[in-house]
Amino acid sequence: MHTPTVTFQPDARTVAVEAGQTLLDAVFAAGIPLNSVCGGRGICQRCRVCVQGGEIEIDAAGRLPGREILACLARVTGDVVVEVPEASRIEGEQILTGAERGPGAFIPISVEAAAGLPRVADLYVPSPLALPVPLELPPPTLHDCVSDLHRLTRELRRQRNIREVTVPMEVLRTLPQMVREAGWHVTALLGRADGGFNLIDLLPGAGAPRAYGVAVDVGTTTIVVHLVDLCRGTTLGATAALNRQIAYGDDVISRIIHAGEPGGLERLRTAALDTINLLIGGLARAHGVGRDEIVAAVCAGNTTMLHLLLGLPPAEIRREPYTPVVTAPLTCAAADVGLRIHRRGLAAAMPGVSSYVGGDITADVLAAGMDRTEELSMLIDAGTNGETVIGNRDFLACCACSAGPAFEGGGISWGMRAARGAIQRVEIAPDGTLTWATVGGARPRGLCGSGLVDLLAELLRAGIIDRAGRPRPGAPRVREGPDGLEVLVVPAPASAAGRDIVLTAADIENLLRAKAAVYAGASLLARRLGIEMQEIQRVYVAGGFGTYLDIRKAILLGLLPDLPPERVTFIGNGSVTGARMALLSYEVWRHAADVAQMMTYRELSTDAAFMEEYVSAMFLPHTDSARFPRACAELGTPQQ
Amino acid sequence: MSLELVKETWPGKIFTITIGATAAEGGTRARTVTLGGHGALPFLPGDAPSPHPPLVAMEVMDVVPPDWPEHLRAPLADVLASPADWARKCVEDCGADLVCLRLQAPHPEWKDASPDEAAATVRAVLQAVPVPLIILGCGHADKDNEVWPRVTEAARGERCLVGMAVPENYKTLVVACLADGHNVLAEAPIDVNIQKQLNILITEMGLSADRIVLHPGNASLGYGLEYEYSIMERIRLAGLQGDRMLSQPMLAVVGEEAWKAKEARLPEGAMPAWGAEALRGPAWEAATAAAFLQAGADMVVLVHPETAATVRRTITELTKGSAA
Repeated sequence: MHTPTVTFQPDARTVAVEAGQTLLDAVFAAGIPLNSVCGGRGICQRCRVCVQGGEIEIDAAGRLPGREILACLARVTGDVVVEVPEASRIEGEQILTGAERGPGAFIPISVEAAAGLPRVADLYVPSPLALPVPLELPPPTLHDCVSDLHRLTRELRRQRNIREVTVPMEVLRTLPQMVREAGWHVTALLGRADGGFNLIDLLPGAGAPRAYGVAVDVGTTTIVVHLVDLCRGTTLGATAALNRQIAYGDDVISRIIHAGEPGGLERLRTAALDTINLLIGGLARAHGVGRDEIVAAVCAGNTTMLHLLLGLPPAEIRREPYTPVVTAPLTCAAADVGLRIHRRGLAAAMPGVSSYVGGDITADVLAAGMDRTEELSMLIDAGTNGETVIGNRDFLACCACSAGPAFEGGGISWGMRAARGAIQRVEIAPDGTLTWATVGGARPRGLCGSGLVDLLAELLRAGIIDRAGRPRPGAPRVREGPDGLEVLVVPAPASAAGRDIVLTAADIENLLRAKAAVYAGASLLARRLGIEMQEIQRVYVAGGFGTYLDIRKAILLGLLPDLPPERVTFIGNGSVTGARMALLSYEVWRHAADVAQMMTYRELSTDAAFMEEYVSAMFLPHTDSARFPRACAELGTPQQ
Repeated sequence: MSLELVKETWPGKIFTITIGATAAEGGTRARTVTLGGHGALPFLPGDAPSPHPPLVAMEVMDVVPPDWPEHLRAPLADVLASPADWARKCVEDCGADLVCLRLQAPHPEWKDASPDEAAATVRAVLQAVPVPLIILGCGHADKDNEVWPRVTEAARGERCLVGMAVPENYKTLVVACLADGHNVLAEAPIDVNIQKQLNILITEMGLSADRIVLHPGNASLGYGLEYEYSIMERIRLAGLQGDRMLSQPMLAVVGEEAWKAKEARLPEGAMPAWGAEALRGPAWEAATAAAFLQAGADMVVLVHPETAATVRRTITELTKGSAA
């Protein structure tokens, strides 16, 4: 049977797909950065493409006025040629490397060396979880006629001091022919295992070794993949996409419920896996790396996400007393997980703490280096699940609360990830003029997390919204929209889509809820530990805000505690950074288990004071002004 | 051996608010009332003087209440059709310190009365009684926002207490009260944080914190009283501890809630074990009021004349010996 192909223009890129797959699947497979934020449900209407010819089946809801259709609602039935217009693309994903350095208070999410964060190589001896070992084996003679396998393991020991290597049967079967054809010049791809190594593969030739790995942040809303050169310790590229599980619910609870339906767990597992595999495929293609050259993957994510990815039943996570199947570090062959890298490559899942504090937070702590210093620090991860960790090298305590995806642009009318065209900075001049800066300087397409923080803070400072976050009727830029009051951010002529970019009262409410949940968790954990906020020496902020986060503005909103801004460091996506560190260092990988073990989990859902903290944080910056003296002074609000 | 009472001192003090204005002050009231000023929890004159004892306000409506049980309707039957007569009876026969006029008629599902009609009712009641007025809207946000500016204008200079300002709808009312010199009654749904947020929002519109009276929610005996009690208590404690955004006097709307309870409404015939409704109804209302007075209410709004008398006696007993 003929496999349908999809050709994308003007990229002139062709991919083969299975009949019945959506155009959106094909777009991912081709690595074309098409915008899509609803998980392929036909809701966001951003994946607009034009069919130039071929066979395709389109749902009625997928047909838009004019030539455009929605890629997510179109199924490929035969060969097809599709044009992806400029306006539908997200160019230059900024979640990638984030190397740009902004002025002033803006701190880059530099993967390699974010402000204040040490390089992995400075802290740990590079020792990747998988590594290529070139070997020149002495050919057998009558005096040295040990078995081929013995020869291999003996030389690994002799030449590289590598012991305890397990060799899979598949490799053993091809071993005699391969080593002889290669003239005894081979490269062993080794993966770390407890107390030794697994031989992932044996390749002919002992030239310049190549081996790559991927670090994966499996977020509830966004999945981020970094492609890492394991030999050089550098990141070749990174990419991100919405977790396709979003089609089955926005938060972990609704996903867990869906997993309980017939076939639900498998659907969710496949959705996450497809997203990851498509991202890996796109990166590999873009950087000229073969799938089989990717020999290790470290996945970090919250406990539910890792359960779903591994196909573990998550039901008990949401039932009292909230017991996950596993939190310990896990390793297995990539094929067992379904990751499309080398089938015997090492797949690893970062260890977590509890049902609601997962491997992503362990990764955050490693990335921030909280576990290595004496100073009392706090880590706030403002993801869909908001987590806080407080401690130092002597103790670590953590908690979690549901914050929602607002700071990743989810549930916000014009929210988007930090990609080209995302508004990431906003200023409102005293005369009311609103200026913005977008990622890549492109025409604005929407607002990413950092842009939303900026916008909300500026609206508050300019008095356009009140301290409950409600737009003031009659204030500049405030108007009646189809769903109540809204604030005009970018007028249609200036926007990429040719439509007004607005922030609605409902958007603000979502942002307020998210910030209140994050702050309430942090504040209550500190209170339960008997720690005053002022005692915290350093605050690390992680989350999918975007490339930058203006710390002062995040404080002005009451998202972060009112500490001197120089004590606050934005570490960006700490989850993927920590996963990458583990990928590059066996020492970090082993240490991760200790860190996870060391973290004491505090359950907030049973703490009566949480609701109280939450409601009092549903105000800008906070109902209790005494907790936000600097922010209130900046707003000109008298102290109560 | 003599017993020495522990004396508790507080850093904060509850704001003093005057409602009503005499001719000299720009109004037409023969008398005004002052509430608040406390430096201690209620009825503890040994801790700190409470210069202004709690007040009794009586509720008057601009519609004939359709669902009142007979034993509540009877004592007021001759005045229910006329807000002015009703108000006069509350003051002259029952000794109400204030009249609380509820403008229910403008509600679209009631009479959909015009703002002008509402303003006329306010003027009629002001002429009928010499005491200060509390004016309540109908609770329909859009209609209230039409009515309030006309009503506050009609009562300009009288320094009324006008409500309810609620978190979802407070701006029009605050602007109207600022323009016409009234005080604002601020209502939050039994939540100390939301009450404080509302107070901050109101003061940020330019109305000073000592022109707000708090209404921390609706409850009655058997129907959420404990919740409201503890919220009132927490608000008062926060105020005494110096939180200026929670240092306002409080009001409890008792009658409306208490008379929703079946224990107050049902006749003896329906519930023989419960005893005579003529006693039971007012007792339910009075018990609710007594609890809120203990929680720190500075003013209770009642409906039954007999309750008014009972609560008045309670206040007198509780404040006996305190420096008035």
